[in-house]
Amino acid sequence: MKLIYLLIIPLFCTLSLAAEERNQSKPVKTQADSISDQVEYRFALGVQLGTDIGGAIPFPFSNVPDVFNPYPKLSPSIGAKLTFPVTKKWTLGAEVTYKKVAIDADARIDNQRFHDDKNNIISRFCGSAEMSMDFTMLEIPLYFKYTFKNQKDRILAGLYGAWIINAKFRNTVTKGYMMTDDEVYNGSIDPSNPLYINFSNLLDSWDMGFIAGYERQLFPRIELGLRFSCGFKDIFKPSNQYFDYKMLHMRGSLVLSYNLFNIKPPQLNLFR
Amino acid sequence: MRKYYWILLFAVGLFSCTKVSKLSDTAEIISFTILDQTEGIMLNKDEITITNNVVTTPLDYGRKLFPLTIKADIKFSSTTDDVISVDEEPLNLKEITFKDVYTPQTFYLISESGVPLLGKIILKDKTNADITNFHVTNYTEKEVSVTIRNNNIRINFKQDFSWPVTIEADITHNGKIKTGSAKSPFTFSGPKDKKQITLIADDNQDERVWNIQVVPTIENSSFESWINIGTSKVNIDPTPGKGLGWATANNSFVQGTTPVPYQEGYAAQLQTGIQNLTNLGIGELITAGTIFTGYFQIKISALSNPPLMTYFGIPFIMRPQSISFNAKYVAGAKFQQSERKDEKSPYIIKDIPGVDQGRVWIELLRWEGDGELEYHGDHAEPVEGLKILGKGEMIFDGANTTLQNWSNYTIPINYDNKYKDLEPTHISIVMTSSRQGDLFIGAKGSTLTVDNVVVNF
Repeated sequence: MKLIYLLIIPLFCTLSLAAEERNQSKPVKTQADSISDQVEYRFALGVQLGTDIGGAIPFPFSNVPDVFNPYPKLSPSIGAKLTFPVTKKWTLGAEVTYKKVAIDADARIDNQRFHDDKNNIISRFCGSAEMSMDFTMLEIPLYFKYTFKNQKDRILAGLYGAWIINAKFRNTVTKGYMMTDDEVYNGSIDPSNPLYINFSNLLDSWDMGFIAGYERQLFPRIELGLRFSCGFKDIFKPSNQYFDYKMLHMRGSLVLSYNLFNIKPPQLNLFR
Repeated sequence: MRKYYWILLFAVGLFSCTKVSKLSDTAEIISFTILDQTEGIMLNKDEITITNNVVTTPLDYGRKLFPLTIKADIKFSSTTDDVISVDEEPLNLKEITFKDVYTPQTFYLISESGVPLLGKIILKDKTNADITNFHVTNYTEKEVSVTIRNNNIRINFKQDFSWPVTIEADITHNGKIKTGSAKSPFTFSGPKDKKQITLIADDNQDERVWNIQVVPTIENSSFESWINIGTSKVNIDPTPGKGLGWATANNSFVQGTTPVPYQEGYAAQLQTGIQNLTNLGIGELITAGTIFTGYFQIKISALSNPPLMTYFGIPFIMRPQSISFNAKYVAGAKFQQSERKDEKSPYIIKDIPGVDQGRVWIELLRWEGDGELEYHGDHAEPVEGLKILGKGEMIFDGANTTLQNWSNYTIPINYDNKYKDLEPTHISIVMTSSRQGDLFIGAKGSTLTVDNVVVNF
């Protein structure tokens, strides 16, 4: 529940701006307005650098442990972007970004069910655990961007697909106890002999989800952006459902982009 | 940049004010107050002590008036996250029932970090009607040993003997022996024969009943006695009776356990083979040779599920420290598994990577359910009413060629601390030539040869 607001903020912003747009468009447009709406159609090609904070989060969010401490690890991301203005205020964008999203965390877990169907093991765990996630991926977002009147501030929303090139997800159970599926005590974890669980081989190789964010033009060719993205699908392969809940990719990104070229092929304007 | 970093971190929304490393590993019983209790039994409520999460309540009078039910108010430290039952029985610390003075109430206190800590509520018996020494005079210490635990005196024979058996003993005690109590010499007709001595306390006339039993060693543990040797019906002698001694999983289709000459007698040779049940539509099964304490009951409907035909455990009431035995192990050449596409398809044998392993495991069981114990092993479904008090295991890795020569091995038995006040009712010792034989995984020809099993106290 505590993460729901993250989903609401971009949605609220989008709706507010859409309402603003609608209110502005209510007056009958004059010919002069119509001319001013026309844009100089240009593809913009740029490169971008950034970093991401996030990992895989239990969904529904009620499954996020009450005591959960993330320790994000920052890694640079590098990519290219292509934007194409649709109207003066709306732009279509696409990107290709190679990134690494890594996070360590520790948590106090309460009664987590673990189901290993292949080995016919069902057990529950209560106690303290440490997690380490590391996803190297090629992310391809496709989004619409709205530019504010000042021509510097923009918001964006869209979808992304990602190829997970390399994924690691390791757990170390340090303290606590195991229970049977009927919640009957079934032995303690010896802190001097922690239980290591490696889920890396069970992780899926692709992801898709939504992306939303804010951008500000710092200089004519340079933009700084903040993004939030959330996957739609479980990080595990469909045949490996170990938990009672999904784990979704969720991350925030900081992106600095530089527009290399503006290409002007008016004949390619599909929206004229 | 730093500003944006913290904004993002906040946006991810995963902050927790409490650090896991700061969570306490301790949980404690702070106070224990008896609010009410059943009548007749006298508890010394002024002398209740709490030490290391053990609540001790002195019993002044009323041993024969049990069960005792008390209503209590128990308080825990603020670092106690939860209190849970040690087993499937629901926990109710507000109303506690003691079935006798010897069996405590046990539970786990869970600390903030999740560490379970054993808690106990015990009744401290008054030492006014005790047998303090029980000295057997007609057998030597090499032949028998005696243990006194709670109100039980166990005479443990270290070698085979025959029933009935007579025990003469010098008994040291306080209090008076009640008229009608058993007297030395005691003649025991069998392992379930129990003699009782009732002592009457001099100070308050409270009575305490002492039970005396003879505990035989597991008969035929040197594997010298077999039946139908030289025939296809060869089997271990189940002496002293079915379900009371050693058994094998030999049946009409497979004889995986056979006697082989060793040390001027026999050893038991357990060998993995392939059981061809194609005619029954089951297919070919990898079948491990097995010898175990308990009995085997063939069921045609369960041929494809051997554990359902093996009933582990024989009556046993001691808490041994270990078992020792002579053994050697050679793995078969080709590691294989019987697999089938679906439940209607016959099993087909496929090669799999790896080397076969033999296994010897022991469990001390406490059966609290109704009727006879039906236990099909540690890989089977849990049995309601069955507690595993202690266990030990040894794996014979076929890749280790040093195991191919005879050697003496000892498997220590690790007891579960939460059951340290409970006595076993059964012992299960299982030896198998293929550790995963119940999953039809093994290598044809894997051979575990065992002899001279000794239970050490």
